[in-house]
Amino acid sequence: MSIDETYIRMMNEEIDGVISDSDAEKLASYVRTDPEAEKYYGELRTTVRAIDNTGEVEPPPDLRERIFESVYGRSGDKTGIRASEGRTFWRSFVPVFATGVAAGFILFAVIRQLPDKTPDESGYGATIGAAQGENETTEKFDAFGVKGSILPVFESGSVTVTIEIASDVDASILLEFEEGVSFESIRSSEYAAYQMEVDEKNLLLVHQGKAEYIVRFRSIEPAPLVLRIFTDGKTVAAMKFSASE
Amino acid sequence: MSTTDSSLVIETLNGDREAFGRLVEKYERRIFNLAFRICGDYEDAMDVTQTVFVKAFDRLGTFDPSRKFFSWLYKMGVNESLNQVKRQSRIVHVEFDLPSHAPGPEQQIIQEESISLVQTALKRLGEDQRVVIILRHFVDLSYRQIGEVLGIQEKTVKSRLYSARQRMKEILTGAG
Repeated sequence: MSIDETYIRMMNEEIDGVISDSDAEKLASYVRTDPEAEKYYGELRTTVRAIDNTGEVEPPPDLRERIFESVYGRSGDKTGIRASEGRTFWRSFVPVFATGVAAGFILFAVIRQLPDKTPDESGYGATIGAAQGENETTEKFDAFGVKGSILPVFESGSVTVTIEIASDVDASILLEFEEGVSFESIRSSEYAAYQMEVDEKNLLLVHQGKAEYIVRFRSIEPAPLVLRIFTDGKTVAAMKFSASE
Repeated sequence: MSTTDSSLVIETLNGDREAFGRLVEKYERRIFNLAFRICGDYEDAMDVTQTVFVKAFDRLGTFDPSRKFFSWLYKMGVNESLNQVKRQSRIVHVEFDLPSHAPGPEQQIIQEESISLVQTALKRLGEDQRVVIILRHFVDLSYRQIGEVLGIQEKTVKSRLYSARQRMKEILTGAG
């Protein structure tokens, strides 16, 4: 075959509809004047048409039902992930993270003598309890090139979460909050570059570099917040904040 | 990832079955077809599709919501299908259910033959080339999206795709 690779690339780009106008003109001119190229291009287009004409195969009508049965029918599971945390990422994440956090809590409780502030750790990689008006519980994280700290402060009518983060790669910070809590504001340190999405239940920050974020929520009643940090599909940290009674 | 997928993932994580149902509804057909084209077997495609969604559900908590859900899911679909192919060493006979709007009997025969030829040609491609053809022509992904699913650069996608088409052409025209 004596067709130039450049023209083969152009033929494929034209088939995919991504060829530039100038390349399209060059290709048309080349194909018009070279019978071998014309034959090759014709066969290539016929091949692609044959592939595209194959069409979709109809999945079985009960496939969705089977999927649901496989997902929710296991071990009598009748609820969602939260109620079956054992199967989810918490199971893989908890042993490592919770061990460290639990040890920290024990030490912290002994030193600070705060037995009534023992948080509910069930199902979470880490749980931080903070009494209203107190703000001493800082949680640090350092994994996959993302490090920093998180400081939640619960006050009457509000929750403020201060996140210090340093990352060379994109890191996603997801804050989930429940009914009774609503997002109020975010302040970031100067030069912080981030993208944010927020709705009634979630706030997602995509961050790179070094920055401090102060995220404030309005809280009608003490309700937990869940924070998770990811990078490149990997979990850096996961924790739940609860206001202690 | 689209906002819709992101919301559905988070709602599923919060125990909302309906949200998971909507994710299944959106992607089951595409995952099934992806699996069918890679495995070349209807039953295998059913098993793979089920497995993909079960694994996706189990691992949803590790999913980074700033990434594209479909890339994550398709990657799982490709890997699971290739694993299934490796597990199955039997000769595959593919039966096609033609859609109800199919043309008359003569046209159907031509169409069935054409489909069968394409499927046979696909099976003669190497794994890398087959997957890239399937993602481009049966799942309708762009070069960039294919790169995201397979974790390869766009230029590698193009190179594999163009070589795969050339090979398909050779097989289908009897030159291969």
